[in-house]
Amino acid sequence: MATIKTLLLATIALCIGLAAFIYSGAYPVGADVPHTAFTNWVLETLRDRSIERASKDIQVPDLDDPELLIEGGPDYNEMCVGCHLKPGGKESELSQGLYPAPPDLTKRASDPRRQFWAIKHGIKASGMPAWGPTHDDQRIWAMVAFLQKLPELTPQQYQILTARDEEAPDHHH
Amino acid sequence: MKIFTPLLIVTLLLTLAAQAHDPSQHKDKAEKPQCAALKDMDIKKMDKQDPVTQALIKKCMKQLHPEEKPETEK
Repeated sequence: MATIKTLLLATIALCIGLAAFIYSGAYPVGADVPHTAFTNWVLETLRDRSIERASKDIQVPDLDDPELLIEGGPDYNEMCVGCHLKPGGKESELSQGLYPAPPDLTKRASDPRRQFWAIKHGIKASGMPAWGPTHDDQRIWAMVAFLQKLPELTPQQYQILTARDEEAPDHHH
Repeated sequence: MKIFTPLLIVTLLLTLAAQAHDPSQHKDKAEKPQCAALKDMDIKKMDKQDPVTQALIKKCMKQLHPEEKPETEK
């Protein structure tokens, strides 16, 4: 009985301490002050496991269709390059200022399921918006197809594939 | 007045969020594909089965071979 009472008191004290810490405003929320290692681990693990779980059943279409690259390239250049960079490009103000730092997608391609999910749903408190409400799945898959090839593109190839040629037929109706 | 300002901001944000990213908005400031760079890449040595090569050739067909009509117009 005494053990239960002690545990109960400890739990109440912990809750009061946690609430006091939250209301104190002592935790720095500025993007220029990194999280503690523990907070960082908690948030990164939470994010990775959540995306892994949510995206595991997504069916990946054939991403080797050149039409998808032609369609996805201009969208990437207009919507993503400011944070996720381009081949031969320098770091941007956004890529340096955001916290957590957005991944440099010119370095390596990650799992297409995870990319599709992150583009469609966004990620809370990271600066990554959800493009799903305004972009259909076909258009998001085109961006994923482009992301899969992005690390191997030269700056010249990137320029050609991302230019929105006004004479080319419009892929979005 | 205090209550109207947040309402106005929320309304404005919702209005902006409802607008899809429209490619036609970017056409005015869009740059053309610089296909001259493709000539320097030696297309013969490029893998024709590679989706990137196919996309590059498709995108630059008009600039590199203006006399040839795209498949859809034949």
